[in-house]
Amino acid sequence: MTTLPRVLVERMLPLAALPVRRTRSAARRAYAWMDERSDLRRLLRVGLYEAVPRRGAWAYTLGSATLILIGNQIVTGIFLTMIYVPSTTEGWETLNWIKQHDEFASLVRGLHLWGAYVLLFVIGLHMVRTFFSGSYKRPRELNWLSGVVLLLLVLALAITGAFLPWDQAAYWTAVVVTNIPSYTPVIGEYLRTLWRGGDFVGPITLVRTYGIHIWLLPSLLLGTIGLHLCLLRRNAEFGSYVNYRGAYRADGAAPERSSQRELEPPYPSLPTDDEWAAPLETEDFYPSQTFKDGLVSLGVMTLVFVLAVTVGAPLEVPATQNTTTYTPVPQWFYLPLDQLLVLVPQQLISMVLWVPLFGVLLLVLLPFVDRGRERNPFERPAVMLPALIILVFMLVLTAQGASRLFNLGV
Amino acid sequence: MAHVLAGGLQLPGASPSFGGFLGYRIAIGGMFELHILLSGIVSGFTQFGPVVEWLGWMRRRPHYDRLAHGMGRFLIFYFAFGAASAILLISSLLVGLWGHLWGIINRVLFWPFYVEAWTFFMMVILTYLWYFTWGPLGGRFKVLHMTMGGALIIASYLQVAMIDTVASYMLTPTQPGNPIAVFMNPTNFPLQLHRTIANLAYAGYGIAGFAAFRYLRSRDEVQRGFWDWAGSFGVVWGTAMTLVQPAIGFDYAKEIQLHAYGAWYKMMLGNLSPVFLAQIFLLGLMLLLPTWFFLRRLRSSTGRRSKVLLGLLVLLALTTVFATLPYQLALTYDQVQATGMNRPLWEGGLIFPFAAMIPYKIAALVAYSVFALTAVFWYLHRLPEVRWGSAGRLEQWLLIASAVLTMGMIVLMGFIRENSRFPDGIAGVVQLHGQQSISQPSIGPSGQSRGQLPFP
Amino acid sequence: MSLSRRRLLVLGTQLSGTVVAAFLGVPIVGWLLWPLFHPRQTVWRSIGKIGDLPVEQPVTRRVSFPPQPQSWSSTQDTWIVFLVRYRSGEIRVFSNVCTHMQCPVRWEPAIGQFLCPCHGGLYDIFGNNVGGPPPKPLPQWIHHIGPDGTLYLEDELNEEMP
Repeated sequence: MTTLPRVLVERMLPLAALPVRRTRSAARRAYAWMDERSDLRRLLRVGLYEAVPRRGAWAYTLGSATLILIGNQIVTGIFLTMIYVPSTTEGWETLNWIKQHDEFASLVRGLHLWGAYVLLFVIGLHMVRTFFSGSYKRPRELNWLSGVVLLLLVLALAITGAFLPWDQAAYWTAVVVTNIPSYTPVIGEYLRTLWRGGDFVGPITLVRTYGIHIWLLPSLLLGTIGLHLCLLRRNAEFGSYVNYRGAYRADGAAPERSSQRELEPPYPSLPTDDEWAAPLETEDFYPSQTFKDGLVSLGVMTLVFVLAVTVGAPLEVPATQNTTTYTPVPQWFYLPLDQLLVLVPQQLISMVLWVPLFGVLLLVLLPFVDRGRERNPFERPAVMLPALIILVFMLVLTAQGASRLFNLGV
Repeated sequence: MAHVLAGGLQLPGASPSFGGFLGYRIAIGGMFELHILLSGIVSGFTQFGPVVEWLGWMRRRPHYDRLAHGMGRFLIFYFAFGAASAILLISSLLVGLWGHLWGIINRVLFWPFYVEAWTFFMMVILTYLWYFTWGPLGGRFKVLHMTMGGALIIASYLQVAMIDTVASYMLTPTQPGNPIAVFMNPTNFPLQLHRTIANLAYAGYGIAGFAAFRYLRSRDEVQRGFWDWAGSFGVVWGTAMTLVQPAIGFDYAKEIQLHAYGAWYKMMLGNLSPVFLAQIFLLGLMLLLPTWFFLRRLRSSTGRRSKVLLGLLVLLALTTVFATLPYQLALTYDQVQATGMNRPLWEGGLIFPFAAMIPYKIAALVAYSVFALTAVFWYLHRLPEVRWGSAGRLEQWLLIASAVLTMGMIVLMGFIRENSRFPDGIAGVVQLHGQQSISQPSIGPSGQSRGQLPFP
Repeated sequence: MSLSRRRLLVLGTQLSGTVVAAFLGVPIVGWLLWPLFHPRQTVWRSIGKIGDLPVEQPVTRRVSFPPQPQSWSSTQDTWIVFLVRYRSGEIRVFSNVCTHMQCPVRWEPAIGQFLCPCHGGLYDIFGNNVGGPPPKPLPQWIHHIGPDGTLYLEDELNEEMP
């Protein structure tokens, strides 16, 4: 044998026979250090292994999809603040420049725009789902109310964001939208002047709206999201009526409560032994629900990404007030209100304020009007049919507005 | 205009005449009215029937299925009759009497007619399949049966959409060579919305009227319970659909004002305005009678009169009176203007300013919708207190009256729509007998002359 | 009145909170309300000689004013002006700002009226709101015609019709 292998065999081999001291890996030791100081292990267990209803779980993924889309808006928005300047002269220039020279920045802008459009759609679906499943009933009224606040904040973010590019579309959106509060009785003109920073839309309006859009509304939004999620955790995910004993009254064929799981926190969500207090079958949030959440969020973000790449964020000619040929076109999510502006005659003009406010009032009053225990949407015709009529009314206004705009050639 | 063919045969110069021009209009108009009364309810039932079946499956209640099956049976009996009236109308009357116009319409609107023929074909197949496979496709295959019903809804809607394209094009024509422009003509979507909602409302009131008739005739406790429920179900749905119509109709009228001013003027201020006034009155009744039904039906079961519904009934009655006030105390506004009497009543004129469309009748229409929606909500809210089978006789007559009134409104609406365009077949383009259109712009209400917007 | 120690502590907390809120609130609210109270300075601009205007046919011109209220921005606002001469010899100077939602109004020769494309508002040749939702007549710029026929405009709108 040559020297080196002899050293290896004679010197090292005996060491291999020594008993190995069982040390924890560095990762485990770091985790234990964190846990001792922050209760991390319990937090993770409580957060990840929460019980959620078993059946119909794909429908509950809309809430997390909304959250992911809001996250997308925040992340792309933060980077857009490093790209865009809120100036009536330079704002358009920055966006036009990146459109022509910087594909990645344009993609970020595209993600922000299409993320906003898809978010508005998904938040509407989420609201319809929670309405349908009766998840606004006791004890979850505050969840619903915080949700209404979130909806209004997201709508406000969408419309203030539309001002920022300062192209023709953005400018005229700013003119019309800032004009709507002027129809408030008594203080209307003051409200308009406050928002615009003057009589007409101009540089002060832009910079003010920019601040509202990037700081004021997002801070309110994040606070309300925190409240919404805390309440969700406290009151437990309701899910759908098919999970509960109350759904099987009609034919009496209720499935047996699964004997493998005891009633787990956060259920029962009501102190009494209400037939809607706890689902018959639950599963762990992680990984069952997170898998579905992840898949739906992936699908939604893929849609946003594809739209951002293929269609991208449009930019019209720079804002010009002195035009006799441009026809202002409203944002698609604003079409029902715009069609209301077309239909309402001038003597009844305050209707353009009262009708949306009344709609919001109906949303706010919903948990207090529909106080019955019943969660099955097909057993609640008193709220379902009027809601359907109001939804038809809004779709009618949207279709009428789209048809009218098409025939104007825009 | 006789043509001489080879062999010396002479073609007739004109269509066969009976009663002259007016005879044609009565023949075609009468046949059209019969057709829309039949086809309206066929469209309504083919679109609403599968929905009723699905609701019954979700709610696990067999009487929904029985009602949907009954709607299917009605379709089987009357579909052929409605279709035959259309065939008589088109192939014999329209081609024979107004051939030149009809040829132009078929040339310009070839693709809508072609698609419509295929959707009609699908509608016929699906309707008969849907009814006759009801038993065999029950139980485990119910989902398949309901999917077939869903396909029937789509085929039925597309069929009506194609016919609406033709009808709307005749009022507001666009560039003929471009099928997208033809389809997207300014009154197509408003008309589709208006007709679809109207057909669904007609379906609801039709069920209610028929159910009332059967309730009055039934002796069996179980049968009475079923027909009582069916009447209530139908009238709630009919009222729900009708109360959206003011918003739809107003937008439709706005598009007509913008793109076919002469027709709009004739309907609102001209010689058709008394008929339109009758329509706003009938609309009020269409919402008033169901609210009265809701009030009486709850009282028949619970013995208590609902104050909310009574208040809404009074408000709806007052709104109906307010909405029916005539703007000009003469047949047309032109007559009033010609005699210099277009001043308010209290200044010696013939105008009643509080009956103006803007804003008074619009406010009345908004009130109609809001009151009716509240009435529907309140009735559904108190519905658990109702015992089926305990309805009184007056309620049934209210349902029958609602159904008859719906048919009346549909007939009047057809009369208004066709005569507003008269003498044009395609407004501004060609008249009924194929002559060039000579539409004159009408004098607008502010006294200025307003021409029609130029067509592209 | 005798204060317990606890009451004093509570009052102190509330007082410090209120004062801090006031330190933040007063400047912010003052800034918000500034546009309502800042005095506006109007200027007069000439848009040249008006010459011969066709009767009851609007002629389009443009005018530029500095933004109101004054801000850091140096760009001027340019506005469309419609000049109309009537049979009586009177001249009106209309702005193209619709009185409904302030969309840009245009003259439509085919119908002989001003049209606002946003919601279908119509104004006649005299500026009266004759159709659609606009609640007031078309606004006019306050103007003055010099002895040599030069038209001067002030950046002030007169929203009442005579």
